[in-house]
Amino acid sequence: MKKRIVRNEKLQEKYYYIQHPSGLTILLYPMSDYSSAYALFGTKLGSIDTVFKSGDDPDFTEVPEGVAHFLEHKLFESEDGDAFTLFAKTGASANAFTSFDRTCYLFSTTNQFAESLKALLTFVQSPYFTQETVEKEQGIIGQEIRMYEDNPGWRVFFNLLGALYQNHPVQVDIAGTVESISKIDADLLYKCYHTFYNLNNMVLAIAGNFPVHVAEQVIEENLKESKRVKLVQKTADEPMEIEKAEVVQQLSVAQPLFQIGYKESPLSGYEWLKAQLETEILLEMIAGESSPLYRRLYDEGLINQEFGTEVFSGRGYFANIFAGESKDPRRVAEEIKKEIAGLRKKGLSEQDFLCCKKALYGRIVRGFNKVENVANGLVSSYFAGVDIYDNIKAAEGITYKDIKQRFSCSLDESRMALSIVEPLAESV
Amino acid sequence: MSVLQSEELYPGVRFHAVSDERFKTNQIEIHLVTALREESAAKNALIPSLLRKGYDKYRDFTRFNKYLNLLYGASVEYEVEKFGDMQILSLSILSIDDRFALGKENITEQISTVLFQMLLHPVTENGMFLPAEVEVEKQSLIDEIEAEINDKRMFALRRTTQLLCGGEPYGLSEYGTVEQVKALDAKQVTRAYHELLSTAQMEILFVGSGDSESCKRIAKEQLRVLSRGKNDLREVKTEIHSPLAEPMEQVDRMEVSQSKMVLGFSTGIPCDSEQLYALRLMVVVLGGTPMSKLFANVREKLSLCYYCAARMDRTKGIVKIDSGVENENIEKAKTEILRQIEEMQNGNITEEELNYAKLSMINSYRSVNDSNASIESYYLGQILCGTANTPEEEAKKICAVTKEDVVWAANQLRYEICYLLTGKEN
Repeated sequence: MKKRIVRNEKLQEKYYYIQHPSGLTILLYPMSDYSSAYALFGTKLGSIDTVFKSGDDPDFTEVPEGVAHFLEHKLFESEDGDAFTLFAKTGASANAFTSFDRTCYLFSTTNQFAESLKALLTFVQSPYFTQETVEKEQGIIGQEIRMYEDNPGWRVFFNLLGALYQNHPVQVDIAGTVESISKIDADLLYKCYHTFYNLNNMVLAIAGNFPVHVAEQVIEENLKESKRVKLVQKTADEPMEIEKAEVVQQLSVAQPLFQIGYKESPLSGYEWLKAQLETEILLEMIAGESSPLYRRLYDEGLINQEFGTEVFSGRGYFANIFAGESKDPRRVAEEIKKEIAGLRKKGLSEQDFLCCKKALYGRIVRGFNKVENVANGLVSSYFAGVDIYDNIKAAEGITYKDIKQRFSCSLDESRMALSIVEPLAESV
Repeated sequence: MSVLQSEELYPGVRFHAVSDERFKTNQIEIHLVTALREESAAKNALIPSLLRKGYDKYRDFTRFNKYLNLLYGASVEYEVEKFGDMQILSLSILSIDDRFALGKENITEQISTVLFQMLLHPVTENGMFLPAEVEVEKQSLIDEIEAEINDKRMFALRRTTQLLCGGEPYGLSEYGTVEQVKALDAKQVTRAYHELLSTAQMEILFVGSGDSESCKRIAKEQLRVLSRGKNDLREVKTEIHSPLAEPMEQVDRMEVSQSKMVLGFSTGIPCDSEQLYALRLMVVVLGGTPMSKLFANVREKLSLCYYCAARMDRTKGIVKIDSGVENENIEKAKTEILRQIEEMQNGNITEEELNYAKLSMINSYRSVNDSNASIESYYLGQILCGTANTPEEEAKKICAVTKEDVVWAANQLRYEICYLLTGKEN
């Protein structure tokens, strides 16, 4: 077992990076002043992983959309009942989530840490699927999908992704569709499970109040051997051109919701992290509360409190998003375009850059305030191929020149799409 | 362990601090507590959004936000909430602690000053809020009220409260109505602001690792201008919900794929009574965890709902059960929910169910101290209920609740309302 300590001088904190012989990467971040411990057991299987091959498979396998999320639901069931029962006995609160590029199982506890950790490791490593339970789950997830159909914030986001991406599966709802999940059966779940829930493809991160030696012992006793297999996750062949410039849907909302997205080149590793942070600063400079654009749009009543920006990026996708509510989303899109064009001519202010950089540093430090943030940060960084402290380092290193450079290669008008969810025609 | 330290600075103005080294931040919140009333809800609700725009030294919103960025991205938030029959208007600021400053800045002193300056010296002209700003914020508030229909689950819960507590302040919206907001002008809002400053109960909370004493000193210095007397203060009390004469049903129709059903019950148990602990535990056994009766039966066993959970409005002794349900399952789900309540009333609760609920609640109480936001909202709740228990003390009281107490609490549930938000009729 290889174990090393990773420290950060600024925060005066450290964590343990352990490479276990089973293939599992373990990240232990003790925060002894806290009351709770938060553990995440994650695999690099998200909604975008629909085409893959493992080991000696001659061909790629294509699976129905929503399989990762379906698997997450089903893993809570074992032959002798529900995984929630295991946690109920310790009082830990347990949960799981599937995102675009990962599935994570988690618990938070202030008591019986060892038992809770054992429960987590046990249930994630014990798949049990039958045709009967799969069919029942199709009903439950079908309801979940329908619930999201009524959620305008969710719809406006996925419609935007559908407009920006031509082939990349990021545009498909994480839960899939009622149709796609109807194709899932027990065999398929086992196939995905054995491919992706291999410890070589997984990470265990724990942050908070827990004894490190106890964690190590429980881990040692509860990991099942995994054979190292080669796994290839096929990335979609995605051109830089967008699918369409505008998409509109009607739902029962009060006033239109909008998301304006710019498609950017996807990146990975430290390069990705740097681009992510630089773009956060850039978007703050263009449309944050300290920008003239924000003030103008707000005072004209074109945006309200809901307005904000986001850098949305992951494996194979990178988009800059401006989102909010507006009586006239098309005007907002025009104003943003105009502002960007104006800034290209005029140039960005160095003074504003320094202000925004300081704010970014503050936000990063704040991220270390909560055990769940730290545990999630460990997992995100690990899957992205960077270190959790790289955030601080990268943020400090950003120069005015970097921002100018980032600006010159992003926010291209020809790769912009607008998604609108507007009130139903009859209720206007 | 975090302890709340409180001091009355002036009549009705209290400063509370939870100092805790674990945090890398300091957060200061000012809560103005006033009676929720039809005639004042809208104008009061507008005030926090005007205060957050800057203060006399930073009259320009853009310049003000640049200054906040220099304070390491200090975030200013405002909120309008309802707590029982009270309307709570809040303004807060948060940034990193001085020890993480890249220079040697006193971030905490600076953000404390900013917050009190915002409260006391907002941007005005001839002593009035700027009419143009008032108009913009009016529209923003109207947007917020109208956007309540966007989140169907929250909308259904709010609508149930409104119907159930029709004759009580708690039935009012904390934002007022669209018509009331439309009718406001800068003069009325300015008058409401001055009235709040002189009469509202003011609760200031500091949570963080920094020096709360310097924040308290700044608060004391700055708030002196209020020159409050003992008689100025208007204390607010919440009355327990008085049940409807007859149970009621209400159906609202909208374009939705999934229906939302809320069942509402009264219990007559006030929030400062010892019986509250039995009620709390009862609600968790019934529908507070994945092991609860509602989750295990209505969702998992019978697949009747996507979610089905019980929650409590402790200030009014009201319990609500809300569910997301397919149209064809509405009646079945309602019958099953009521059947699960009957089970509890008849004492059909296993030791396991009781223990699981207790362990889960104890875990939540013990976790309160791990986030500044949860400490803040926990202690504000204590202050407003007139209690001063630590989370550990609350956990102890939950531990002491017996099965008989839970059965007793279940028997206090009086069915009052079934609210349904469903699709349009064909």
